[in-house]
Amino acid sequence: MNILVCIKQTPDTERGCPDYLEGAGRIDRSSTERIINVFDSYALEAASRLCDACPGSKLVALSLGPAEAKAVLKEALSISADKAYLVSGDAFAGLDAPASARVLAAAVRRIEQDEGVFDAIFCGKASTDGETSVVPGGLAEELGRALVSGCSEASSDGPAVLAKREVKGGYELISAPTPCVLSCVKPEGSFKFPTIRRKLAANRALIPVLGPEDLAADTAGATKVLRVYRPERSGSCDFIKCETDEESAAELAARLSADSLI
Amino acid sequence: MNANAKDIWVFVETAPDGLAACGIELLDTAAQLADAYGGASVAVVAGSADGTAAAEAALCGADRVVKLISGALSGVSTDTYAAALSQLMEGGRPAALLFGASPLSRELAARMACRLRTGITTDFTAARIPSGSDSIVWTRPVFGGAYMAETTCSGARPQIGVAKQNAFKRGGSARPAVETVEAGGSLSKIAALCALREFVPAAGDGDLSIEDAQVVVAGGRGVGSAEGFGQLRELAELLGGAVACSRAVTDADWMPNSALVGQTGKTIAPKLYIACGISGAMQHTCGMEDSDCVIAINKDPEAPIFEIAKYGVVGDLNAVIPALIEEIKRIRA
Repeated sequence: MNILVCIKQTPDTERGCPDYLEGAGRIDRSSTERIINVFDSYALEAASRLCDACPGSKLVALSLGPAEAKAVLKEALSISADKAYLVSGDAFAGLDAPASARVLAAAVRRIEQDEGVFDAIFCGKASTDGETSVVPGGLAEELGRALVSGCSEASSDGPAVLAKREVKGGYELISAPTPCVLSCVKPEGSFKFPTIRRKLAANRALIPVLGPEDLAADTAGATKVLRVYRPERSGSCDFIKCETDEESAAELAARLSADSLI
Repeated sequence: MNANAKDIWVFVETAPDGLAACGIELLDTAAQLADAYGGASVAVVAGSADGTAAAEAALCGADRVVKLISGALSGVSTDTYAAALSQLMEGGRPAALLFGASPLSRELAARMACRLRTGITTDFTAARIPSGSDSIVWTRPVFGGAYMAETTCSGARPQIGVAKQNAFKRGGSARPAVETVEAGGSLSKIAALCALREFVPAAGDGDLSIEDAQVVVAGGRGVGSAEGFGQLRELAELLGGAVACSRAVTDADWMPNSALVGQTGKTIAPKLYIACGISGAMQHTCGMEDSDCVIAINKDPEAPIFEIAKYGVVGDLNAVIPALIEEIKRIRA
């Protein structure tokens, strides 16, 4: 199968939160380490498994971001991607989510001229920095393709892809006609890791860059951020401090009982 | 002339039992926004052939209830709902279109924002129209709640907002005159792209899910091992609750993904949330901070989890939890 996976470089929010630039009224995204967006690593894994199950498949990675975002594409190449493209340029900085979807859709159409139509485009369910989860749906809408959100597994099923989606009380198997878009949550089981051989090849790999001049996409956003601020936390915790942990536990139980919580 | 230009639409989903499932909690906010615009709050109720959800919407703040009735509408293929909403807007776009936080609503909102070339704010916790303004100012958390942002969409319409999970509680009251209309007819021309092949019930079902539990006992890295969750499970069973965890725990395979709370997991708001050995990074707290009462047990008095806790115990979990279990049993005896 011909598969595309979209990968965003995001701050490593598990290891710290980016600084707030008081004067500028914005967040300093360069103040934390940057990694593959966690949900996109899930998309890469789900896409890799589908490719492994269908011999002769090709896996292409695509990122929209600054020149540094090549790092996450190299990581994808060192894990399982066969080829990578970067969409980059000043006109693409600070796009809102629908505009990002439009630019990615234009990039997909452009790349498909060389790579052929992608049977499935894998995306993470959301990014851990923007957290809108708008891009997968927007991409499906812009490209006029079927969409399954929140899937953890995908298999080939003739002219369709069969996607597994966890829902309350079980899971659904949803048949999506190709070409389609899938947004992913964490697949079960262990993930593929980079190998030394692939890492060396990834470092040498040529990553084509598509700029604003290569893509016909409307980058104007409709949403404007008025301000960003730190919320106040109440900080009114009632600490229970007794001589021993056992006594503290007993006091906690008494409070919970008095509050009718247990 | 756009007859809908001052109206606020809310997409309301219906559960399999016919009751309103998602979106109905936004009708009160919609009514307030509609009053500011001098328009109507409109509940667009999907999948309510018998009218139960539509009747609920009429009691919660809708001026008009539009029942979307078509066998073509499919929960696994949001292109069908996008087509239906587009058809409803042939008479004009509303000022705003609000969605609840379910996966279907989120997916549909993303589609509509791109289809209509308009702005979207996800996870909003408040929506207001400043005096003298024509546009909604949305408030939403960013970076897991470490910051809050205010956004607006001044040009394009409708302004689309997706509510943060658990941020709005069902309320509101019936408006003076409620009109109910059915939208069927042309909707039959819609054809779904995706199809549900099979629904497979979870093995060992009957376990209480963390979304449904009124009491949740959650463990973090501080629990120390998969075996360490045994005492949390015992406490949860005693309180009729469920066991959840933070990401360090699923990364270490001590608990399944279905128990994960936070940015990469579920967002829940039980009556009682007991956080054990969880430091309280924003990536976790954004998934549980709307709980009615948070209890934190941690050996580090500086752990940020205490900032959102009602009661805090600084101590060793392995001593506190068994003692808590015994004490609760004693109180109940």
